[in-house]
Amino acid sequence: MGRFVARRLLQMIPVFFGTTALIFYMVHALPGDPVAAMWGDKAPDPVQLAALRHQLGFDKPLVQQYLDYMGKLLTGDFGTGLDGRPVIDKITEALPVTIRLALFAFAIEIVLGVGIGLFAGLRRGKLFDKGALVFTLLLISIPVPVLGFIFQTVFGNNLKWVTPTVQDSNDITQLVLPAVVLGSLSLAYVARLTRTSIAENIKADYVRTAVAKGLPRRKVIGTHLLRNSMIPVVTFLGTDLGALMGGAIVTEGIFNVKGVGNALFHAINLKEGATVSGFVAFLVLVYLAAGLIVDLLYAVLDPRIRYA
Amino acid sequence: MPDLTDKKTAGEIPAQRTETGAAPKQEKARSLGSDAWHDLRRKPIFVISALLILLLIVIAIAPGLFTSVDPRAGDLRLHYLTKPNYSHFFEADWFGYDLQGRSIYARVVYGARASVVVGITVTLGVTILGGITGMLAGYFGGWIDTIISRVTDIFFGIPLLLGALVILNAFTSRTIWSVVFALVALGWTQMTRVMRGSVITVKQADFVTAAKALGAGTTRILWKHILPNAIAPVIVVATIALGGYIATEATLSFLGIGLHHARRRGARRPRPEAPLREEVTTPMTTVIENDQKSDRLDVGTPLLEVKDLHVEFHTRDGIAKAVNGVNYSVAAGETLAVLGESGSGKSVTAQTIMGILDMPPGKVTQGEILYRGQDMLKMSNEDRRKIRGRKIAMIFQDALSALNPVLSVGYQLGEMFRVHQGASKAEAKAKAIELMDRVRIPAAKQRVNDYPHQFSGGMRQRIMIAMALSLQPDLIIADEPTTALDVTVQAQVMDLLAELQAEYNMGLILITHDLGVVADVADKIAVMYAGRIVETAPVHDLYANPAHPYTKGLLRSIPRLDQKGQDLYAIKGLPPNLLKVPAGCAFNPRCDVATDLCRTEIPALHHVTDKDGKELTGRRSACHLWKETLHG
Amino acid sequence: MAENILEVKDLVKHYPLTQGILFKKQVGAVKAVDGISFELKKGETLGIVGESGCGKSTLAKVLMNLERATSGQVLFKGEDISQLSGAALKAVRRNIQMVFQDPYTSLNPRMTVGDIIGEPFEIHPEVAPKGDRRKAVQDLLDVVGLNPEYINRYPHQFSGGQRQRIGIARGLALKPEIIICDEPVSALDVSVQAQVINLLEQLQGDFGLSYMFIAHDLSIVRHISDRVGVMYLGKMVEIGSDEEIYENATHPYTQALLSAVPVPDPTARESRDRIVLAGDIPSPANPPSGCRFRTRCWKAEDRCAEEIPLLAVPSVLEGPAAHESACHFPEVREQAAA
Repeated sequence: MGRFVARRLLQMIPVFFGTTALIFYMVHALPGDPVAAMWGDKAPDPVQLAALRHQLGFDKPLVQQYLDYMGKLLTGDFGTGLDGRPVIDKITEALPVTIRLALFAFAIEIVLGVGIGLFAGLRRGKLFDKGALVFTLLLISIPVPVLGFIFQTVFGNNLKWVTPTVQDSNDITQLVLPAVVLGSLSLAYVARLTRTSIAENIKADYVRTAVAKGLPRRKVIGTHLLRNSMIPVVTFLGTDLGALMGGAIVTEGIFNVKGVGNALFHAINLKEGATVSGFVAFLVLVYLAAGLIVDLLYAVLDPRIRYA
Repeated sequence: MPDLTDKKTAGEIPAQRTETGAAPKQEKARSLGSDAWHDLRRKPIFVISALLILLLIVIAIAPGLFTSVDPRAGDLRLHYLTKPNYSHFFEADWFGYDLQGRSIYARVVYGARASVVVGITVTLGVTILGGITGMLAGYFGGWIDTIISRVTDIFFGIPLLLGALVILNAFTSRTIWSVVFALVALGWTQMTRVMRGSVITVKQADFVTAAKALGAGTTRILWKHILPNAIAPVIVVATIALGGYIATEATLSFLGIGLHHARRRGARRPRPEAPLREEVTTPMTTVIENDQKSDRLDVGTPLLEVKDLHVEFHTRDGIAKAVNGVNYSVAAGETLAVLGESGSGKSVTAQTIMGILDMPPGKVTQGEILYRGQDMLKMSNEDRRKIRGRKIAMIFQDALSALNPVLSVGYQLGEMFRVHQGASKAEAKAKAIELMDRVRIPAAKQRVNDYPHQFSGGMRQRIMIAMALSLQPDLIIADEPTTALDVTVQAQVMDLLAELQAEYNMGLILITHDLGVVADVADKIAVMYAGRIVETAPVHDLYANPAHPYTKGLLRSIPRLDQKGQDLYAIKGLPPNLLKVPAGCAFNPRCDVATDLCRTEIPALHHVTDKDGKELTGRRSACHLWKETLHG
Repeated sequence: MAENILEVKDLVKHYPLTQGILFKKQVGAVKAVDGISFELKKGETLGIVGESGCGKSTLAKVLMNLERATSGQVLFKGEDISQLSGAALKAVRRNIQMVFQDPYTSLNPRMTVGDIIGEPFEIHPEVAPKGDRRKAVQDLLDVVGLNPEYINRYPHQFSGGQRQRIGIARGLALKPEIIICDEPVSALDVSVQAQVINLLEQLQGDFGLSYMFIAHDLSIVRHISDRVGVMYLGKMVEIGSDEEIYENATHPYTQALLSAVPVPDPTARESRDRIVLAGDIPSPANPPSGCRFRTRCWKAEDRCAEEIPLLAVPSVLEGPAAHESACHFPEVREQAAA
């Protein structure tokens, strides 16, 4: 087990550097000069411009810039935004909101997704199964912005159950609607994955053995069927948690949640290279951590993969 | 996009036994593709979905066919002056006008066009790029695989939407192609992974080895053998991804970063899942088993009696009569061997007794299963459950798959005591260790927390036996208990089983196709063919003097020392297809002595007499010509 | 005696086991085939028996050059083919073909029977000119007892026995001299097995084929084989004519194997003297020292742990008992003839 974790951690190093390098390159290949943009509409003074560029390190080769950046990153310095605020401050400010929203959405997708998938899988071909199929298809088919607008209009503007946008990102009750929208797509996937997995495992020999042993149905399903069926679902849930932590750009935008996605979106639009790079480097770490957790969970769930 | 690939893809259509063997009928040869096509065409959901997708493609190619209005031309007044007119089909004001006075209908048409073009080109791009890289990584392995896998890992760390935003920001003028570029650049690795996994599975198949053995080159193997068989999951993922890319494009547009012209709104999107959706009812086309009238083996007080049991399977191709009137009985301490080939109904009968038959597609249409005189088929589920495991236990063929891979053997053994006797955790574990000792697992105490895959095949089967015997049931049903084991291990396992059977005076139903194993342990034998018992006899009588041509043929087809150098006797033809069992005696097309009577009338299970007309105890034969078979 | 068509000399196939987080270092090897020598004579059938994990399937793969031998030689008509590659290997493949165990996975489900049997001709166009191929395929179908009109069907339209015939037809297409059969009937129904065995025997006569017949079923091996080799844990422990092996086995493993085979005769039940071996086959990654069978052998002594017994004719034995056997204490078992 220890060796397995060590190997996975070592494998992550090139992935971390590769991903950050790729993003760094993409960010800095963006056209438009962020330094020049500081002058606004006025024409910048070439001497000042060059001095500032030099001060910010923009005149060095890109590889050198990346290495400098990574060097600072490893000491915990995520860089400074063009507005002068340290990127790490922006992250710590947005992160709690995003974590709250992500966990909320995550809980919804686990409870509902696994629940729907389990019952659909057990009642293959019955009405509930067909209903679940249509329901999940609907969720998968509707793009998140559309779903967000519909929910906002129906529950916020028409029914007035909740405020259409989030006024206070720290108020958990206001996060209900965004969390439902954010979790809905994954919920559909989780439900489908669970259903497929249950329907497949229910025919497995060991389930048949469990029945032949005279176990009550509740035990057959709970002990033997569900645990084995969760293995592929856990993979999805792990990567999805990583995605939820960083990618809620649309949902956060619609509901005005001041989270990571929102901050990142603004940074991209403002071409704030340092902020984007900092956020992305952080998100990559979250992704990799999620991946590691998935692998460990895998090993816990399935003794066959417990490495020496 | 997660991999939602359903296991049943087109490539895995279960093999069907469509052959009747003798007298080949000239069927029109149909290809695999046209088979699938034929099945799909009968599903309305497929037809509807296909038409919808076709419509979208037409819109994409020729939006002008649907509207003559320019989606960008707007007259601000129109929004306020004109209301949507929902009866004006295909006209500019069908859905009304937006705030800038542009025809919403025209915008939907052109918007759909952009979505379809982006969706299809991106999907094609990632499939080709990912397919090629995945095939290379999967087939060649080694450093090629390492490099490609690391690169896919890197791309997987970048969220699709985020990456697309960054890339699109780099384009000063964004067209449909910049969106396509961004999505392909970030999305191809998904297909690489799917293709790589699929290729790794396919390349281990024997037909690939066979092609290599013929001297086929790498190109031929990849192109002819790997690609056609590995592509199915990629296509499934691609169709799902198509929807995902269209949604991503819509989201990018929503964020103001996608295509600027003719932004479309609304949820008009193809539903690629529909045609490939899982079939609601799984066709039951695996081998189906099939039995006959009025035979009873009367020895002592029967522990279990099966009376006139009929079981059917409802399949896509019709009703398969797997068991057609089987009768047998077992007494305490007695061993009944049920002998038969695949499709004979021997396992289906056993599963029906245990109550583990899959229903549907299986269905008991007639008959009784008496346990100590009580009909189990009429019992409540709860009463039946209490008999299972405690009174009647079963040993399965493949212990590796019959034991739960994620639970320790100690837990699985102890479960019997916890569920049926309410034992505590500690008690159950102690009993599990005791049982493992009993079946001679070395170092039981240390190994009780091990998992099934950590044991050898022989030990796993002994654990299976321990589990079945844990509550000292009256009756054990062993379904091919040693078929999967090596010869020297087979002997250990059969000895153990016989020893425990004698110790606890249990009844044993041994289901097997192996005439050797039967001769070693059985007291009496029931031979099954096409769902019927064709012969029953005490073990010695059956081997010495079979009364049914099928039994006779089976015994003769075993290689014998005195026939070396000669042809083996072979029963001609193939076991019957249960969807169309031959009329009359099911064995008649393969029988050397069949007469017209055999082809028309199903033989009853006759009592058998010796040459002097004295009835032979326990002997029956379902052959019109049993006399000739037995005495001539 | 006929000439040797295939000679195997000290053949070894090890699969390396590696360990290490960053850099893989070899920590051992699975010794699947570990120094095997035998010869196959023209027109004969050599049976190879052994339990799972004894290396018999690996042996087949190495002989077919599907896996590269770690060391040793495979001489086909005197020429070492074990290190060949490219065009030379392709040419040799015409002479040695294979029939697989599982008729369900050994045929490409996306190809028609005609394409499957015709593929050898596409790979080796010199065997059959293009115009004659369809005819050649139909002839092959006829030879293996299938209706030549089935040429456009797909494998899933056939039963297991028929598929195995298709596999045999494919193996015959290049007119090879040797066919390696890897458990060709073990996946088939009992009543169909005899048909396929008969077909193989008939083809041997018609085409003068030499067979290497790998199986775990000793009765079938005895029926079809002229000579039999017994493998245990990567080694050949005994080899000889069928009479020498089946009636006069001198290696304890062979004796145990033979005694364990269930005999389809209930009257033999009481009189049979079975040797029930204790334990399981050890791991080929870490085989016992000396004689590999010693951990399960009732005759084992100290010498067996120290000294590897060589496969040789024991000098102490005479008559049919004097055949190659790798045991320090070879002797014919008293009640062996059951």
